[in-house]
Amino acid sequence: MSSAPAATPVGAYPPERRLHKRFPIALNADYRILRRGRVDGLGSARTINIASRGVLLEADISLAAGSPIELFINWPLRLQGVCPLRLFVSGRVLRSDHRGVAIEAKHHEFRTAGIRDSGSHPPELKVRSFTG
Amino acid sequence: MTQPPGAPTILIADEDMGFLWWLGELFNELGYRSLPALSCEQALSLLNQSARRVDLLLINPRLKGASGLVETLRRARPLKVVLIQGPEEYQIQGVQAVASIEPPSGWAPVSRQEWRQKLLRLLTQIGIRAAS
Repeated sequence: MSSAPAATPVGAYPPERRLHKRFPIALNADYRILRRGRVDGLGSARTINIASRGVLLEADISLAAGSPIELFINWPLRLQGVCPLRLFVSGRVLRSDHRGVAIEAKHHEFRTAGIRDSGSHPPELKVRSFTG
Repeated sequence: MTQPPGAPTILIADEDMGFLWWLGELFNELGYRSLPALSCEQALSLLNQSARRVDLLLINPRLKGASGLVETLRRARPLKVVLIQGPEEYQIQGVQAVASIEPPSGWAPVSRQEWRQKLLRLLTQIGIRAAS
């Protein structure tokens, strides 16, 4: 592979080819349901799969379609062995049925939570913002 | 999940949260330490917080700041770079990548076993071994 100008496209690689790919990833997550900008419910869940635009969850209860939701997915390793890293996803519940709770992601970013486990509380330190 | 103290660190930078999480989880299972980043800016932020040297960088060459990230990492030590891209190739200015890896596309489910083997072949090919 030879050097060339930065990110030189040799051909066109349509990003949409990757949009619908779902990756089976089972990780613990915490969620909170929002209503009129306030927290209306908290819970724990486990991811079933993660895609570029959404997450499928196995949750303890059924969640109402259309509800705004914030999700914190735990990364299995800690920074320097102590600092949890989490993927924060905000979006809405698309559906909730026997297959799981489907979340449409509108925004996602990584966050670190200091040396304490944040439990059901939101992580504190934003690493970086990314709007998907 | 606990990695041996000398486990090589793999930094993964890609904007697709599903693929990023997937690669990271597989590398962790294979005995490596992975750091997932949704952007080059976040990769640098994570590195500052983890104080960890990077043994291998997997990066989507179309990410903004890709060449700057590689340059920064290479100031600290020699670094092998693998490009995440599709059949059409992109390159990063001044970077000689040792290999490339293509994200899955289409509707077929991804296979954990298949991808574990694919990553093991890649790591063997470029000589990055997990700590024993």
